[in-house]
Amino acid sequence: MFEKDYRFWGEHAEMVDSMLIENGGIFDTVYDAFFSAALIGILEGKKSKAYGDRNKHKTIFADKFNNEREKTNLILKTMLLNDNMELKGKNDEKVDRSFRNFATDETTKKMNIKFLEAYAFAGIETLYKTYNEEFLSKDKNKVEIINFIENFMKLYANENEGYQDTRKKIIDMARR
Amino acid sequence: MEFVDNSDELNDVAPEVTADTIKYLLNKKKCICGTVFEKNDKIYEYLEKSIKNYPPESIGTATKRYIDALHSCDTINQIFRESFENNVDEYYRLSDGVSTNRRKIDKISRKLDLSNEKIIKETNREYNDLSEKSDGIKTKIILLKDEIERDKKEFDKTQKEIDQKIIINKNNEKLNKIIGITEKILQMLKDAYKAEEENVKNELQKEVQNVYAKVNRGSGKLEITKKYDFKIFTKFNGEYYEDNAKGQGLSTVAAFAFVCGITQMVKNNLKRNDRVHINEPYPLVIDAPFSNMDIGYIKKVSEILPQYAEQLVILVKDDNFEVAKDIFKENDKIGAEWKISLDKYPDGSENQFKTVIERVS
Repeated sequence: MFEKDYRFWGEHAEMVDSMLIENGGIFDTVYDAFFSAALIGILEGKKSKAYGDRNKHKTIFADKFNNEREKTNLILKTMLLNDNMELKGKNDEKVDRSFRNFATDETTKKMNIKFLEAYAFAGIETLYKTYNEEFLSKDKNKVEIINFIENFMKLYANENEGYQDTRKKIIDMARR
Repeated sequence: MEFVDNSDELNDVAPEVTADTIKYLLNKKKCICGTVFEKNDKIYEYLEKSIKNYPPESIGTATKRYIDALHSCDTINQIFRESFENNVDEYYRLSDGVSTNRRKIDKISRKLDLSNEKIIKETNREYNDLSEKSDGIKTKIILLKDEIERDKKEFDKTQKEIDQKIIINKNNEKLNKIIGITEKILQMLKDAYKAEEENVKNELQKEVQNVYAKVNRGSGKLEITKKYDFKIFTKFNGEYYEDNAKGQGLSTVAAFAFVCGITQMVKNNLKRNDRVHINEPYPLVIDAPFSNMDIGYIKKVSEILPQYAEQLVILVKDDNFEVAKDIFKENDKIGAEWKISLDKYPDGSENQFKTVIERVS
């Protein structure tokens, strides 16, 4: 999928930057923040577009994608197969974009990247807003950060209906 | 997901390979393992048939691999979540423990603060008092150190002066010793001189008296004074009376006695000092000795004088030399006779500016 460096810019780049551990945040790498945000975006059913200063940008390097290829493909394929917005009811297109043409068709690749980043941008906005609201009146100490992550995980995994349905299906499939 | 769930194309083929990959190999007629084949070979046919098993013609393999990956990911996620939740629980538990202990510490600290407040205040006051005293003592110490330093300098200075004085004293002691020794030597010399002077005077007195007794007609005595002058004594009725009149003849005789005595004493000394090889150290020169003497004295003196002098030079006038000359001749004491007279002009008068000395005998 990602054979070159991927760069995004504007407000989302600045938001991600502020949430990196190196800047006192919670994410180790830009990759972690971006793909976590993509999953949050699709679970929330929200998409967004890039805006802001084009000179402010962050990059996920091709080398990182190469190391994380299996994970990246898994996330993207799962997002494509479970999309209820752009591809809702378009099962053939979902299959084509997830499997048939996923690695072979350049147009599909570009479409998939746009699909991914739309959800990722929305997820970044949600993450950033929640993160800042959480720590508006709290000290950003270890206990509070762990508390925040745990709550976030509960919200988007344990207590999220869409996530639980999808997971159930996956587990059933794997058992056959 | 429903499609995937219902899919029956779950064949097991090479992962990540697509139909395009197979087509590429068929076109090259060479496998990635290096095997070369031709269009109608078995390998060619096998590869051609397998195209239908790879995307995009077949998605069975991709689907299967996706499901496997999902399952694997879910398993990992489950493990991670459990581990994470355990860690979070442990973290909370420990955090609670830390908070509880912190509260306990705060409580104890408050108790300590309350119970010890008085003691602390008292201690603080004592500490402040002691600090003030300490500062005062420190200041005193500094002042004392300065004083000690000044005293030390003064002491050193005084010590130096004392050392110098000791050196001077030592020098003085040495000098005093030298002075003492010198004074002793001087006293010894004075004593020796006095003794020697006494001896000399006695010897001189003896020699002079001896000569005077020979020359003098009477039984008088001649005594040497402290200033080495002489006094003449005349014997009368067994007692000596000083003869202050000192007639000219007697005085001349006394003077001869004095000279002869000294000459004799010098001779004696030379003999004592083993210097007798010097033949005549003191020739006796006498100018007009007989001028004031009567004939009796002239005879006596003429007999005695040669006895005391090895070489005798007498300057006499013709008129009073006859008596003495006879005696000298009689005793064979004339070694040479010279006549000193004024030169005479042809007319017989004397030349006052030219003296003629000529040997007579």
